[in-house]
Formats: sequence, C-alpha cells, structure tokens
Amino acid sequence: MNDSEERLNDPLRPLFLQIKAEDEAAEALPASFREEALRRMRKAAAARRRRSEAMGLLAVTVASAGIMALAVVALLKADLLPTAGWKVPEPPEGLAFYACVGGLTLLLLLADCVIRRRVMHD
Amino acid sequence: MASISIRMEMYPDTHYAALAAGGDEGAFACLVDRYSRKVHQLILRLVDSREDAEELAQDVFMKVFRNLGSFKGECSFSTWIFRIAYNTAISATRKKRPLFTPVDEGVMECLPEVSEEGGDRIAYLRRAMEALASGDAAIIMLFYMEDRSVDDIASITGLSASNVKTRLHRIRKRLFVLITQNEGV
Repeated sequence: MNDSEERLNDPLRPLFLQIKAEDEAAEALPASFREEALRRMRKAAAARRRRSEAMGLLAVTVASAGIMALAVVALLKADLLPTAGWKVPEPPEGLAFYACVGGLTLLLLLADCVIRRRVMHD
Repeated sequence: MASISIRMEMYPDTHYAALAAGGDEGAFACLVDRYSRKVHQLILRLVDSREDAEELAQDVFMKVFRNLGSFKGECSFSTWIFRIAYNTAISATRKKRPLFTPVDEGVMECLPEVSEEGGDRIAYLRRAMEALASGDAAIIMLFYMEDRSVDDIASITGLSASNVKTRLHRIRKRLFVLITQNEGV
C-alpha cells in the first residue's frame, strides 16, 4: 500500500480533519493581524532602505576621502607641485590651509549627500 | 483593488516571494493571506497561549520578510515558511515543555488512558493531542491537517525521515488503539 492509499484508509484522518475544521472556525486570527503584519513589514522595509542609504553614503565618503588622499600623496611623491609654481605650506604654519581644504571637502560631500537625497526622493 | 487581489491569487508563492523580497507590500500581503492561518495553527500546537501564538506568528512573518532574499527554492515555499514557524515556536517553548518524548522510552506513555467519559472521539483525540510533547503534536498536525509528506515534515522539523516515520507510526498506532478502546467503553 502506498502513502496516499494509506492516508485515505487511515481511520484517524477524518477525525483530524474534523478537528481542523472546528479549529479553523474557533481559532481564527483577529482582523488586525494582517494590518499589523503589513505595518511591521513597512517598518522593516524603511529601516532596510535607511541602512542601505547610510551604507552607500559611507562607501562614497570613504572612497572620496581615499581618492583625495591618494591624489595628495601622489602629488607630493611625484614632486609635481614645484612645477605648478606653488609651494605647499608646512603643517605648523599651514594649518589654516589644510583646514580650508578639509572644510571644502566636507562641504562638497555634504552637497553630494543633499543632492543624492533629493534625487532619490524625487 | 479587488481585481488586483484576484489577479495576485493566480500566481505561485515564489512569484510573490520574489516581489516581496524587493519590498512589494501587495505581494507580501498575499503571502500573509495565504499562510497566516496555517502558521498560526501550527504555532498553536506548540505553545500554550493564544496570545503568544499570535505574537509568534507576527515574528514569523517578520523573519520571512527579512529572509526572503535567502529563499532559493530548494524546498517549497510552504515548507520553508513552516520551518521558520516551527523553529520560532520551538525557541519560544523550549524551556517550558519537552519538545519530544524519547522514542525509546515510548512516545505513547504520556498519553492519557481510556477516557472515563467515553463516547466523544473528537474530544478524546483532542485531550490525547494536548498530552503529547509539543514536537510530537506538531508532527501529527503537519501530517494530518496540513497533509505534509514525511520528507516535508523531516525538512520542517530538522529530524531524519526515519525518525519522523517512527514517531508517526507509534503515535498513530497508539491513538488508534485508544480511540477504538474508548468506543468500546
């Protein structure tokens, strides 16, 4: 006797099917269950989207900072600056210069972030 | 709206799963509609309280949503969602009730003896089910009420197919004996 025949001939089967029918009527989920599940899903989806955006922004920031650092190192190592006729100030005296460059970088990153958010929201 | 839900009912679970993984609320709602009652029923066999069962069912759907991306279709979607429901309920009840009665010690020793009330087979079967360890009750529920195959049950519970077969055989045999004895009282 195969599995399906065995199931059909199982004397317990009709009893369990009757229990199932009774339970379905008696143990119905409240109507709010569906709405609550969807509300939680929306919340989880929003959190996932925010996390994804934050990770994207972090990746862009790190990559930008890395590229800029690499460019600065390359310029200094290749000794290209004198040919431009301009001397990079040494750290103690040139703090204002570096602060200016850093500030400008942050400003550009901030602008990038704002533009990205606007484009994504649109 | 009605036409959307009618159209959506025509597609298989995997279609909705793929859409819901991308954040489609309508597709996720369809999966909730299809499985909420079944998931709730399974959890109710494993936990004692209806409130706990409802909250755990909500947790199951959250886990489903978060893990939809990892569903590769190696088993059917229903088996996958039942596995999540089973594991969620088992984690919640592990400390309260024994999951399985060791087979060697006799799965059936925990069942009540022939009812003194006699007569009502359904009522007696219910009492017998309540006396089962939660894991055994879940196996019986999946087999009879959800029409799951032994392999499906093994996949859902994490037991070997032969272990599921042995448990099913012993529980069914004893239940049958008890029911028929009860009728003779």
